[in-house]
Amino acid sequence: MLIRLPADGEGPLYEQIAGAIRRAISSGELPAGERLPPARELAGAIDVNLHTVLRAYAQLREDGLIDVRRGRGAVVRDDAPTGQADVHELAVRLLAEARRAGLSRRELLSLIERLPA
Amino acid sequence: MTARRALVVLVLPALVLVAIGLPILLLGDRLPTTIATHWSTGGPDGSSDGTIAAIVTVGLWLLAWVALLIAGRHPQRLFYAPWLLGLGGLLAGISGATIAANLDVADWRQADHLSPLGVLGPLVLAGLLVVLGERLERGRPVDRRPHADGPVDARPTVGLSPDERAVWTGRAVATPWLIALTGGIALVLVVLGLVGPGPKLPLLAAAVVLLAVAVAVGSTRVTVSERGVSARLGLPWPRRRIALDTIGDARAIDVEPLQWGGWGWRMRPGATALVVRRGEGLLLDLRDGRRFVVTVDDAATAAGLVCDLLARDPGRTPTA
Repeated sequence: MLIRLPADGEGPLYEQIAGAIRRAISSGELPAGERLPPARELAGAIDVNLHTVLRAYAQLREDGLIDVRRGRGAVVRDDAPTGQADVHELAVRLLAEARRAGLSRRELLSLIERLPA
Repeated sequence: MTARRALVVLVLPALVLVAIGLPILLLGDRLPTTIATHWSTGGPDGSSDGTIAAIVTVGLWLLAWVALLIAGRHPQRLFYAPWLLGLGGLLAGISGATIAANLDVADWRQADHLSPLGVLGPLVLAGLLVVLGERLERGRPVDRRPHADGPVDARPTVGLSPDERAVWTGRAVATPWLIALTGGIALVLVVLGLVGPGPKLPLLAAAVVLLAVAVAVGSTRVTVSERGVSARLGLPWPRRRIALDTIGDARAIDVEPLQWGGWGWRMRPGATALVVRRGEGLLLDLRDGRRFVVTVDDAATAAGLVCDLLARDPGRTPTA
């Protein structure tokens, strides 16, 4: 599994890490049942705080993409909503794009609401 | 058959058979019909029929010898030889210690206490035979010099940007029969240790060691990052860390275990290889001329990341 963190990455670090893992899951590089590296190992390898990685893993678990079990570690769920992972990624980028365009989050939300169904 | 292989599959096993059988033949009539075969701190507390114990011990070794002969036909499976020889040493030692304790006693309950030599002796003997087998096998002339296959025209890359941080983690899983065989032998030892004749501790200890070996050669874990390449087998230790500034070049290759003398942590002059299966692996050409190989899935991406990280260091280029 390759995790890439661009230097000009948008948003908090944990979100970038979670996003990179999300991309790996939806691209199939991380198939269901595959084990993520231990948080400590990943943190050491990309030189970030352990808690940053833990937070990323917690985010992915909230999104239903991974299971974190004692002893086993973090494992990609069989029913990981990979489609949703793509949407999540797009949403993160949309938010960043909107911010660059000067739109507030509220304005963006109302824009989405006004879109035809 | 080369001389070394004959040593491993014929001469040494024959010597073990002699070591097991000779004391039985020469001293058998000085033993009681029922001999003490289990000891605790107070002395002998378990017995077996002497003839049956002898037959089981010799039979076990003959089985192991057959396994060695079968393995000898496929050189890539000969790496089991040291462990089978160690089993033979264990059997010979246990058998010898049991006979010594029961020598010239009228009843098994009067057998000598098991001395520390009787417990450590078999283990030491087993260890010596494992080491001897390893040396004989390691010194075996390899058919082809370990070399890398694959095109050298395109340097592998993952398209890393100058400021991008990246880390690659990967692993490889061993061929199933390897695990099944090692685990199976360990299981047999456990069963023997629990219900068989003779001191249980050495057999159970050997079983634990074999189980650890089975886990060890079960998989590899590799991490590539700015901190360098980190690789290990199925157990957390030993772990090899290779700093980026000691690496000259990296590429993905096809690993043939036969070229490296078998499975596991293989050491050859000038090269170290972590092999758990046939197939793709990461090859590192180190700057001091040595080589490091580890079987791992998606080795091309790993090599690409290493090359990109190497290229990033200003004033350095990967050695050709």
